[in-house]
Amino acid sequence: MIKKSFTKENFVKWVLTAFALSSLLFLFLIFAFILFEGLPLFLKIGLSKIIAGFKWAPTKGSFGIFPMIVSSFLVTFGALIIGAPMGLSCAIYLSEYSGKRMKMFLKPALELLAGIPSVVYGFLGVIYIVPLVRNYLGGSGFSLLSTSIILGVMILPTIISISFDALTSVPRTYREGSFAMGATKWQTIYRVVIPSAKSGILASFILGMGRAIGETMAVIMIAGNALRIPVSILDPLRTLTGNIALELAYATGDHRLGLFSTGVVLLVIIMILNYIANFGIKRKVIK
Amino acid sequence: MDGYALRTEKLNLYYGTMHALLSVNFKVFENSITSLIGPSGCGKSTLLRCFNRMNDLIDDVRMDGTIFVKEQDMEMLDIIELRKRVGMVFQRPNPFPFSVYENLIYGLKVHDIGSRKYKQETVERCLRAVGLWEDLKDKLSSPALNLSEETKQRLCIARLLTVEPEIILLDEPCSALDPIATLRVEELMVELKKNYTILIVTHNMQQAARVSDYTGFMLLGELVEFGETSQIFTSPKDKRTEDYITGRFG
Repeated sequence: MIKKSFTKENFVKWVLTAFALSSLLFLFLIFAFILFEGLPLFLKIGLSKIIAGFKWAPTKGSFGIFPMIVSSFLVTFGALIIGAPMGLSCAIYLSEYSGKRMKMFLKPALELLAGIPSVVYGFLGVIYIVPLVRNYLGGSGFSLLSTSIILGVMILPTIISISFDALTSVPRTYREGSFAMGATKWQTIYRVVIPSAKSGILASFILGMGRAIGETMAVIMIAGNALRIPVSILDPLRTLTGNIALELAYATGDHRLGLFSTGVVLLVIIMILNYIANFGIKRKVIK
Repeated sequence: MDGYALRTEKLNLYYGTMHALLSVNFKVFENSITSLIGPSGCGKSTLLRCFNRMNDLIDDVRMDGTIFVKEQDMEMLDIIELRKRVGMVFQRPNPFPFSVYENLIYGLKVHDIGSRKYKQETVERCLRAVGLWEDLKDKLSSPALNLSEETKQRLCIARLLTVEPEIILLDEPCSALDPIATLRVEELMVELKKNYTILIVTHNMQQAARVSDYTGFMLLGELVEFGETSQIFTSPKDKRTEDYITGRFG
């Protein structure tokens, strides 16, 4: 009897382990697949000609994606400039100021914001943000600025939820210690709570960046997709993700491999960001 | 022992529907150590936290009655000014996760006091007052969280002294410390008595007997008996006090 239930327990354990490891397997497969398809072109053309090349004319043998790397980083930082202060403010409000009822209303609203499909964000961008930028600031409206605004909103849920967790995990005793010395609420927040939650807040920014740099659909709808490095915030641009999504449908031969190389670069950037968020910052917390 | 540093008149406190303090009339004399003893949940920490309005941080707390700080009605005092005058040390040492130096100048920064030089002098003076200067003078920039529990608690006391409070509230300050560290912190309290008024909550009766000049015994939200420590421990007037100090319950 005992033995039977033991084997049953073991069975469940093994099934769960298998499923858990399968997600690891998918990650491995994605890596292998992208590298397998993307690396040959690096070997053929040369790493520097791809990541430092300015000209993208894949049918004519030019695979330079430097402008797209720059553009991807520009929209990501643009998104951060807009999303970080808003997101952090919202997280501070939620964890320090809002009452229970407000929290019950705001948290689900934020989850909904995270669940809105990116094509809807792109749609809103095209209908409202692009004309607004065109009419008031000039240019075509399909621009770095419009893209940054939309991405800034899209990364809010990431920034808010991770910053919120970081702020709420600051021990109550720190706050009490500060209040007991006659600090005001805001002094306590910005001198004790925020510095104590610093690493979690930074991690939220970096994960938000990862989300922004990987976003595709909304970006191709509003970025304008021009193949050059933007010189003003009103210029159009094309990101790494946009490049793949726009051209994959008709690309063949080396052109197709070029898109996979773009994917490899994107993957490496995201890996670096995740590494910073997970290890660089969490290790500091443990200290 | 000139006047009252703290005094309450018919102080009642409710957590929601729970009546936590029952018409407490309590007093603390200046430049003395007064201890509050009683079993867990008797309201001694609640009473302590009334004196710098830490109970304000808890939702659903109602209070009536009057509290006097140096014979001034507390209602008349600005809460920031009050908490600066009536400082508090907590059960678990709670240095901030910054350097020793940053911890010590926190109060000065918050109250916008003093030049750089004044800050440095204050840090030295307050560390000396708690007997940590020799140990920490070369470690001012190291993280406060790496210190031992006793050193952390002393640091928290030093941090409090930087804003020059008149009254120091201690909420079971030694419960996280070993017996030797406890004795040393007790010595520190006696030392501090010269310049400060001290009110300590403890459930260690020996500690109350060792350090305090006056003792109050609380039970179920009521201040059962208050008097000189020697009197409370040798000839308690109330039967319940006698039962508690002789270890019949609690």
